[in-house]
Amino acid sequence: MTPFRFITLNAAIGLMIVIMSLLLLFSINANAAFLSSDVENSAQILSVPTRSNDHTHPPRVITNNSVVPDISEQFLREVFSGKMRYWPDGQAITVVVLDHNSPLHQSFIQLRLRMFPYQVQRIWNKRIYSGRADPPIVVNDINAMRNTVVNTPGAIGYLPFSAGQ
Amino acid sequence: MNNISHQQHVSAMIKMSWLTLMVWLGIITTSVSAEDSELSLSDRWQVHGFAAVGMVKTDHSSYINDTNKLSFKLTEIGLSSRFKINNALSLAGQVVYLDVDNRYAKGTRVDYAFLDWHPNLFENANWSFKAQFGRVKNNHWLYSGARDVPHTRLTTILPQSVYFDGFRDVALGSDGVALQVDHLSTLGTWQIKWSYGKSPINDAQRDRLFSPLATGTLSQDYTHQMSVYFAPNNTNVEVGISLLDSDFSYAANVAGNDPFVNGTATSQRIMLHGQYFAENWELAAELMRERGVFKDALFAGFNADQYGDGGYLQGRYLFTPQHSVIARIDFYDMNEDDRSGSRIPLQTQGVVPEYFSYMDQATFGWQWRIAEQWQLQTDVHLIKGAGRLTPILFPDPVLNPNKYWTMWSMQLMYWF
Repeated sequence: MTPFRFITLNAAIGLMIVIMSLLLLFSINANAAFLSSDVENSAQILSVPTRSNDHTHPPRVITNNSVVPDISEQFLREVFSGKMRYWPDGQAITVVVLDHNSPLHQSFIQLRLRMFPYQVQRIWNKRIYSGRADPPIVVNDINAMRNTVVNTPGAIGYLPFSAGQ
Repeated sequence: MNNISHQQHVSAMIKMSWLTLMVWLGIITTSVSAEDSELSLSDRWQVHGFAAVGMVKTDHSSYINDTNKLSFKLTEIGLSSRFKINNALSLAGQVVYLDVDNRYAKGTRVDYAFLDWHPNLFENANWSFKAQFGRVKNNHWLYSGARDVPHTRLTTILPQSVYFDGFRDVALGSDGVALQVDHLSTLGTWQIKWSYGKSPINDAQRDRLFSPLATGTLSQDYTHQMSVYFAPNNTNVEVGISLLDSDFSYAANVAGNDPFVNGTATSQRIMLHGQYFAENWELAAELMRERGVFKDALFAGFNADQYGDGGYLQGRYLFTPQHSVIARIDFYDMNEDDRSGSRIPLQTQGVVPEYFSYMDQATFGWQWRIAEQWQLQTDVHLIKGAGRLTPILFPDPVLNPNKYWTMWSMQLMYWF
């Protein structure tokens, strides 16, 4: 008798559906709470910009002037995962990021995209090494980030929350 | 007759795909649009690669080698390139060299080489369409698209129930076409993928899949796959389902003292996929049920039609971004009607033991991100059964005399 023979396929499928459903419920609740606190924090920081902490408040999304910044959080997530390549007006998207070890990048991934750095890194690795995507432009600091986004049509990036206040 | 006609149809389709690719290339190389002409060569051309070396040891198994001695043949080297013709069109390809003892045929192969077309077809940002023509990758399973890239795998050896090493080259991709539609709905993100093509099978792969005694030609007539994935909004969950249908044929080499005869085989799979990401841990699971239909080939009049199933559940915990541990259970039964394999000794006059009908595996691994583009990975595998060892149709109980066996590996990898 094999160690896992008691797990028939049907039982395994059932188990998988149950686990995934629980994770789904857990995730929706967790993220719903997260969204609320995010909005409150943003409002607070907007009124008191000098007290902002760039490592805990959501970085600002910046785009090139050629872009009409009317996008959903979901679209933003798929753009920075390399899945969506065109803006609503048909212009090609250029993604600009800091090094993945940068605190601002990690903050952006967690607070803006509501994903995790290792998760996004794996998505890009899979896409790049299977030939499905060009990697994003990686810049060294926020000045380079601002300059690259300003000078690249269709570009999108991010800056610390307090930048430009 | 129908089969021959179907093969001709598929063959014609493959030729058409390559012809289409060539025509595209001709048009494209002479018509890079003015709007893209300002792109520099460095903007257009990306080169990436990886190199991995390591050591691996088994006891009482021919999975790695026939001697069970420590092997340093765990070498995987790849060079990939992507050339951006314009915003919608790119060319991508990867060459890989493998030297991993019995697991795969040693040598160089082109893992993928395709034209990637990603137009703004829908003029709606919530929809995306892309197509690939050429040698396209199988992107239908969680790890299939990058199973050949060491640093994208959580363990050096993937779960064999789903990612059977014997089928590595056939399952990695095929010469044909792949289409994908992504849609951002109010509920979440949908991914619908479809692909059609065939994989070339050389003699070394034939020996692993079929038998080292074979001297005929084993070919894949076609593989047809489809998958649908869904990721609900504001979650880090993704679930999916995929289907596969593939036909193979064997043309015996009558003049070459081939002990086998002409025959066919069909492989069909249905799979469920799921993964979940949390801040310090992740879960992944894939379940599959597959049908194998065999006609002739072994001998005239041979017929078999059986269902097997398997799958794995895998968890990973990240102590730090540099260190993580992985645990996985993986199970596989070749025949649902004979899970214990009791019929196999009866069918083989006692030559082949029952444990060749299943393979269950517990895996524990550790990943250490040593530096930015360096990683060390080690796995320990506790295995019961030999149902996922090659050659599939000719099990070797002499080299695999034990129901229980173990394996460990350590691999150092670099990528750029």
